[in-house]
Amino acid sequence: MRLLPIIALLAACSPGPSEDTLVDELRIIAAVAEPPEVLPGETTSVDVLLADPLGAGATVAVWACTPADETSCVEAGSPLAGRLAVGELVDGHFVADLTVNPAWAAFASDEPIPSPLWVLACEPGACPQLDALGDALAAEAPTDAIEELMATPTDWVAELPLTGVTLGAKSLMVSTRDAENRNANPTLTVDGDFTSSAGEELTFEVSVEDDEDESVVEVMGLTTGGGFGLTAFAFLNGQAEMRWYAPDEPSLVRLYAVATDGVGGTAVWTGEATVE
Amino acid sequence: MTFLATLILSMATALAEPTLPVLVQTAPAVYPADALDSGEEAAVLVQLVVDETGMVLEAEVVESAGEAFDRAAIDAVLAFVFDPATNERGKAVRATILYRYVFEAQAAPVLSAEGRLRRAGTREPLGDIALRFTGPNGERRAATTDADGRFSLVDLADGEWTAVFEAAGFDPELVPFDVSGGKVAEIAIFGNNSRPWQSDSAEVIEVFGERTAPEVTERVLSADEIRYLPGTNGDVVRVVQNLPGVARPPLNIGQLLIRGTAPEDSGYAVDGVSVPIVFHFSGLSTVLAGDLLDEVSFLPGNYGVRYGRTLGGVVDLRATRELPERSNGYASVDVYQATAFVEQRVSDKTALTFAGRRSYIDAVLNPLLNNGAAAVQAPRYYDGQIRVQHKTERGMLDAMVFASDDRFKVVGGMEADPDEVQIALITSFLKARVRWTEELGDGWRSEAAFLMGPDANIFKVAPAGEAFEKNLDIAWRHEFYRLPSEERIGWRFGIDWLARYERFVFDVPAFPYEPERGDTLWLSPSPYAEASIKRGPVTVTPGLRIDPFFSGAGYNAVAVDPRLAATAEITPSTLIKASAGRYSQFPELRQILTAADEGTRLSPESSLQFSVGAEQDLGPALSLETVAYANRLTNLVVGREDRFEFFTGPPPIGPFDTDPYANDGVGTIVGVEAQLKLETERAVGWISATTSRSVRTKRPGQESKLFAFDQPIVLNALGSYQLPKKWRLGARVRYGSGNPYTPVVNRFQLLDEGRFVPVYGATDSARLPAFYQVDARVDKDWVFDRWTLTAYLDFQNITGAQNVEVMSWNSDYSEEAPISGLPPLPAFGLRGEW
Repeated sequence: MRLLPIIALLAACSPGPSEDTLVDELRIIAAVAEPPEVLPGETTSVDVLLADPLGAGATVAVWACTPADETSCVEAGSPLAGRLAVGELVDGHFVADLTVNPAWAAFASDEPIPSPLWVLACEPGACPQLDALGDALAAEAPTDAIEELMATPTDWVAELPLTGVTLGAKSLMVSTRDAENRNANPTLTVDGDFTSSAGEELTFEVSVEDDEDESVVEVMGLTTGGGFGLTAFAFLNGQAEMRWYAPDEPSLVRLYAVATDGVGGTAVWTGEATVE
Repeated sequence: MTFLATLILSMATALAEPTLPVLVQTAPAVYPADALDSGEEAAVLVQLVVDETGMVLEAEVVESAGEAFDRAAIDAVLAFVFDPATNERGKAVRATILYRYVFEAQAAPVLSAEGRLRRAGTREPLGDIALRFTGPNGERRAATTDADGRFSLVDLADGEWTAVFEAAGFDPELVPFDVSGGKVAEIAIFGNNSRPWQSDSAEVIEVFGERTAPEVTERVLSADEIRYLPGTNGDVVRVVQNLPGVARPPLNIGQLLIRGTAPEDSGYAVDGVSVPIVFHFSGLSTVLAGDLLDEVSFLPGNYGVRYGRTLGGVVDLRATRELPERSNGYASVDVYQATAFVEQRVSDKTALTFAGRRSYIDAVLNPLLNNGAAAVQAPRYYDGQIRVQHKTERGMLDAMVFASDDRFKVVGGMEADPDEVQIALITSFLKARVRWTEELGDGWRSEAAFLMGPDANIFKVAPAGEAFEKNLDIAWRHEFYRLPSEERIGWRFGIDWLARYERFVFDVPAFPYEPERGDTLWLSPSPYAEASIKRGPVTVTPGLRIDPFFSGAGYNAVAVDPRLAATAEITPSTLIKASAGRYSQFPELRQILTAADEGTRLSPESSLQFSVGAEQDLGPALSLETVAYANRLTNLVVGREDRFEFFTGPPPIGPFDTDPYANDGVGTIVGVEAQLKLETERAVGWISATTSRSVRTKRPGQESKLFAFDQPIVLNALGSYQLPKKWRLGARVRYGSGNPYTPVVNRFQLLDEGRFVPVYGATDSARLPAFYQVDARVDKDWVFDRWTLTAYLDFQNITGAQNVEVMSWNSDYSEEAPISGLPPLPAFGLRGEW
């Protein structure tokens, strides 16, 4: 019997700040869709939050693509304007409106179905294909090559550099439920003293409110300096404690907490900690 | 006793008044007991060489009166003292004379002392050794030990005597004893064989055993000396990992990768009957005590019809076939485990053996591992064996029960019950084996082995997840065998039954798959036969094995495997050999049942193997063996790699083939292996080299890929050398190509889960860095009269090489985070043997 998975598991057991929570390059923190669950043909506002600790700036593309086969999406043929947005990162955010393909009505029901959204962000010059996407969007003339690009983002990213590029996938839930029964994004608050000495350990109180069972909500901590004790914290009665270890040098650190409810709902908290 | 002496002159230069040796002191001979009881009398004519001081240098029987009288006469005359012969100038000279020693029953001498000469440490009797004795007033005697090491002395004068033991390779021993008042003195002499390579009659230690059957490529390891090789921790079977044709598995976890085949394609056996594993977790030791084994047979491929149902190699652990010569045992402790072994002769015909081993590596590692929320219980294993051997007039009955249990657990967790098992891996078996061997006459031999018992392979994952494969085996092999000669054909035929009740469950809620389970009883009664025809230097061995497979699940199949081997001794020191054969392996039960549900009927996997090679003696101590081989694999079962990968197979890295099971896989393996062996009285070692290429194509039309464990170059050099004072030094150097792996070229995030997913490049398009490690070992024996204490230091990775064993990545797949192997690891151990 193999031991390799066990060795990988053992490697994960270590106290102190987790390196996995440190963001030191361009990275998607979260994508919050409002609303997170929509009817076919309905529009949602997607707010993409990115960390850009190097301050290089980024071009962001957000698009919907539900795989029809290995090279195309079921959305192909519908207008690009409703399923693709391309633009520049502003204050760490990129906001776009996307419309779920009305064709989803054929198989949507009271049981929510995930509709994939893709987010690609690239530092200037890292992704020439983003220009092609922008051009296609401006011309409202998607070519087969553009459709294939949107349908196979993982093949695309295989050709892109490891740094300065970040690709993420999010599920937008589609259903025919009444508005009051649809899932809503949770709300997240984080309290604590955000001033610390170098190397100090801080604990933040995290509260979450969700229309579903709050115990299924997880919160993930990310930071541009130091590190959180764990990558993910579980809630008990809507409360959780996040432990953060300040870096060894005085600095201004950005902190992120991202709560997800497992069914497409997301909440984000952003703060700054001063390390003296 | 009286003496009649006849002296016959045989001086070479009898000129003016030379003189003969004149007997001035005689010594009585021990009258052979049986002869004395029957009143038998005799005379022995011996030729003596008397030196210039009058001492008898040599004595040789000229006219024998039987072995017992001869030995007694020789012992007596060696203690005679003469006035030396002189030449014409009056100078003492060496002379050769004849002396007739007469035994008269009425004058038999009185027993004064008796004793036994044994090897210190092992208490093994030393026979046919000449001893000298000196007593009061310069009196001298001599005695020669019998086969049981025993000797007697008669008519000794009262007083202090000294036994003198001197033999090549042994430390001189002086053992004083008193003779007084007609009491019989008891003398125990233990000879310390500190320089065995100088011994005149030292036993021959054969590290590389002889093939007892006509296997074209069979490497047999058969000696105690193996245990002193470095990096093996004294384990005989682990030495197999250094033989040609064997690639090194990741983390050295005990799997055998033989001639480019997968670990699950190789078979393990005890006395030819199948067992699930031979190594404990991590490969630190074998599941049977090494001293139970007569030999370890390693068959990397193209083996005869005796073995089947595998595509790869076979490791057959063969238990000792004879009763132990004496009761013996040992106890040992090292940083990993404690072991005890006791072999007791309870009568001339019966022996009992008890052996057990318990690892405590968990006790060492747990404090180091348990620094997080979960409590890790490091691998721990134990095994035990009970054996009875009974010799009858017709043959040997050998019954053995052996068991093994390996466990690894992670318990507790962030919010879990502290005792809840988070992850557990368990491999265990309990087997009872009975073997009957019998000499049938005219060169025929019969061997029947019956083995039965359960084994289990269990994987548990919280919450309430369990996956296992559990078997209850009944195996029986009955074989008749005769070696070939010029006059007659050699034969081997028999039947190899394996009946198995097999169950499997795959029910792991933590994994995104529907539970699967199944069970069935299957039977494979496999007849086989081969003939060995020897004509002059050429021996040709055609054979046929038929493996039927009948299962309660309605799946039946049969594999017919013809095989042919030939050897030719083209010179007394050169043997060439060639072989070809078909080998078959049945699909796993879970594959059969799942495929049947999907309407697919799987066929046995198949392998066509070819090899050609030569064995060349390069002198009394050196030999070279080379073999080139090719293996074409067809009908390989592929698919559903995501489901059971954690049980067997290559590391689960890279994109899986998740399509349904099918016999779509093919593969090609080619290679050349060589072994240069050195075996002298003081040194043993070898250099083994293997170059190979192993590729697979999973589905028709797909590109051929390197096999996950393909290692183009594997080199091993190891040896040990005996030094004076019972020191031994050993070293091992290993080099091996890194395994291929599938690189991660980029990644993406699942934003709702907060985790990264790798984007892989071309399958197995990268290769781990080459493996390189140097091990060393030093042993020191302290030999006491009745036992031996051995201390050793087995230092693995003495240069501290950072070898990459398995590729891993950090959590966002931005960097490779390879898992390295052993740090420098000195292991100290003690072993007491009696």
